[in-house]
Amino acid sequence: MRYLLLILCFLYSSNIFAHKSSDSYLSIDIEQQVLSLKWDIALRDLQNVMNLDLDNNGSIDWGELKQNKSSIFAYSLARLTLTSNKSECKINADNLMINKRSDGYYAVLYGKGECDKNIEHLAIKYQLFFNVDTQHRGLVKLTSQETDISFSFSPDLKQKTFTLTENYTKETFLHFVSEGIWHIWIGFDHILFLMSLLLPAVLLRYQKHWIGVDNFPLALLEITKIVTAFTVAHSLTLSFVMMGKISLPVMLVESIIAISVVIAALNNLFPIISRKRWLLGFIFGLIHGFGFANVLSELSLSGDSLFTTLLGFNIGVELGQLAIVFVFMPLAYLIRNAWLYQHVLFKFGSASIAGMGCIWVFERAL
Amino acid sequence: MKHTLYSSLKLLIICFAINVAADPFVPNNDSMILTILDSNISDQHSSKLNQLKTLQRKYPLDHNIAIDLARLYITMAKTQTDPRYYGLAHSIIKPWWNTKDNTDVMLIKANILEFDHKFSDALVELNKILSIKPHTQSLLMRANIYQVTGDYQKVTQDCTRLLYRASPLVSSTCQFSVSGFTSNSIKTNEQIADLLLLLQNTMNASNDIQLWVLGLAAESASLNNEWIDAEKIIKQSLAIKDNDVYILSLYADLLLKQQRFQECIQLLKPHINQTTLLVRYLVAEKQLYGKLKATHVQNDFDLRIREDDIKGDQRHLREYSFYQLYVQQNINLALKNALTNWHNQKELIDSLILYRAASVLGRQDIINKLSSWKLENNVNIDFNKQALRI
Repeated sequence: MRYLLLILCFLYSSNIFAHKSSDSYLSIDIEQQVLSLKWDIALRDLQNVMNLDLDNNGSIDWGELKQNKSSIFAYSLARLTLTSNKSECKINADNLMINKRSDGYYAVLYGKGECDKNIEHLAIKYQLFFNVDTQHRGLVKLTSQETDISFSFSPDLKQKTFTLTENYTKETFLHFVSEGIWHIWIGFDHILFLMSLLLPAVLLRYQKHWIGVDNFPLALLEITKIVTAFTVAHSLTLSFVMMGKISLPVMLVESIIAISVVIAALNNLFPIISRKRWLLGFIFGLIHGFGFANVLSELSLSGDSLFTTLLGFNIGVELGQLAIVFVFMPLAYLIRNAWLYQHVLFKFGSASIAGMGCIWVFERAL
Repeated sequence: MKHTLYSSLKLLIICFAINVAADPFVPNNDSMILTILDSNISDQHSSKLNQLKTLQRKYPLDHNIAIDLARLYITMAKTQTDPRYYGLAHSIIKPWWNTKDNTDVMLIKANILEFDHKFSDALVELNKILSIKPHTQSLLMRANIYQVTGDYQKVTQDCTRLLYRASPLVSSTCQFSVSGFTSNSIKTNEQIADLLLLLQNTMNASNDIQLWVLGLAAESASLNNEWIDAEKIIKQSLAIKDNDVYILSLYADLLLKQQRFQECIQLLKPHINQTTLLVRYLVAEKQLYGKLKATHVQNDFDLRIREDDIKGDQRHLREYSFYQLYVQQNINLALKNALTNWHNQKELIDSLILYRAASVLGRQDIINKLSSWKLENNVNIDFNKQALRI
């Protein structure tokens, strides 16, 4: 029966994490060739590798921690190697303090280090607790005048060299380009809004009827104007939101985005704006920008990383949109005069998009 | 008086704050207790833990001692819901990690892999054990992993194999873990009644088994819209153990579904150190007050999400997507995380979160994917009705 107890225990606690896994938090601030260290290490983890409970009363108090200061520093610093320009940076122990985190008290180790020359590349070898706890992770935050890097060391990745110049910016940039593409890919409402504006781009409103345009450059220009207006508008609001200049409630933004889909689709069926559709793209693009900002709102960005992130994300969004245009435009131009396009794809398609938009308006307003 | 009240309030705020952003400090008093050691926690495992640790230090290459200690760590990880013990267990059995014949090590390994959400790797270990010998515990564990990954047919197969190996209550509950969610409404009610009767007639069922049976019955009743029955069963479970996370999360979901936010807050307030319950607490607070009062808790939670992102840790995507969907109302991010999570684990709560995010964003392709999975596994739950709409 004992085995069943174990397994049953597992059955209803398997996906719960009550406490945190073991993490240490190492901040390294770099100024020319000088390093300032602040390292938060959980007392529970330290107790696993050394006896902090000097009086063996089953608890650790501040007095005992102070008495263990030199052994805590010696143990921890022996498991951290910082190298710059092929020579090891010497780290000296400084103050010991404590800090309370969500999973208990942490010893806070302060240290000062010095490297031979100005640091351009810093190699970190992190080995704390990996031999006793395979779930342990070392969360490192590197800051210098130019960079702000976060990284996680694990038993499978104990060593990494960081470049403290533009390379990190490139990595961040590429990451957010892919985030932007992904967002367009999963952002069905943005796609449908854009499609509502693109569907009539190969048509011309003439005497209350739609006819196919016979001028490919003209159709291309129309699409370019729409996509550019949409892009400029959402880039503007996205940037202002991320800079903290403006904000709107998420539910309001999501509801207006849904309304924009309905209006853009209905405008195809009952045209009010049939010539300057780029204007519609611009006005509602401002609101879609708030929606894009929600994706990035998770991150607290500042300074250079904010610019890199915004630029990367916007370019990603544009690449995603251009992919849609490149697929849509030639096909639409090819069949623009066909009954299938003018009645099924254009009219029925617009009606379906409007219907979908109405469902979203209803759902998001609830 | 006013000053005293202000100071008391200030102190209270300081005490309650999980000060992730607080500055480190030097205590005034050397006798300030910072931590109570786990070997000193009055727990049924403490004396055994001390004994095994001493033995293991003395004989680090003795695999029997290592297995006993690792097994104890796994038990403690589950009873205390503390993930740190998995890492300790892993380190202890590391020298024997790639064993081809030691089924004890394989079972510990399967537990660690399961904890890491590496379900297919855990199944490989369990299959190896079962190819060496018939093993009830591995069979039950495999059934559970198949359920987590949403393969109901294989759950049924393993539960059928349990028929003559485990007690009638255990094998019936195993079967019910599928049939309780795949049958029609009337049949489900009958099955719940039968299961509860069987529990009542099983004299020696331990608390853990009782909670397992009652939890599944309550979940099934709740998803079958029998809210009064579900609440009754949940209260019966809480009388056995009032801090069981799974039961409390079921109760919270039921209260949220009925918009009983104040009761939900009262229920969860003492348990918000459990992330599964914390996200539900934050949802109830947001609904009741229109904003979050426990901002310090929220900050800690936001920080934890960012840290997991840096670590590439995807084990808590269910909780994160729930939070992003109902608290932050960042539906796009919720959908992204819910979808990534659903590719790995497909418990009903995972499907419901994904369904809600997909339906808000009108992602018919994802809704179709969920429908296909339901059809393949005969799941008889109306996602549209059961997904939390607040």
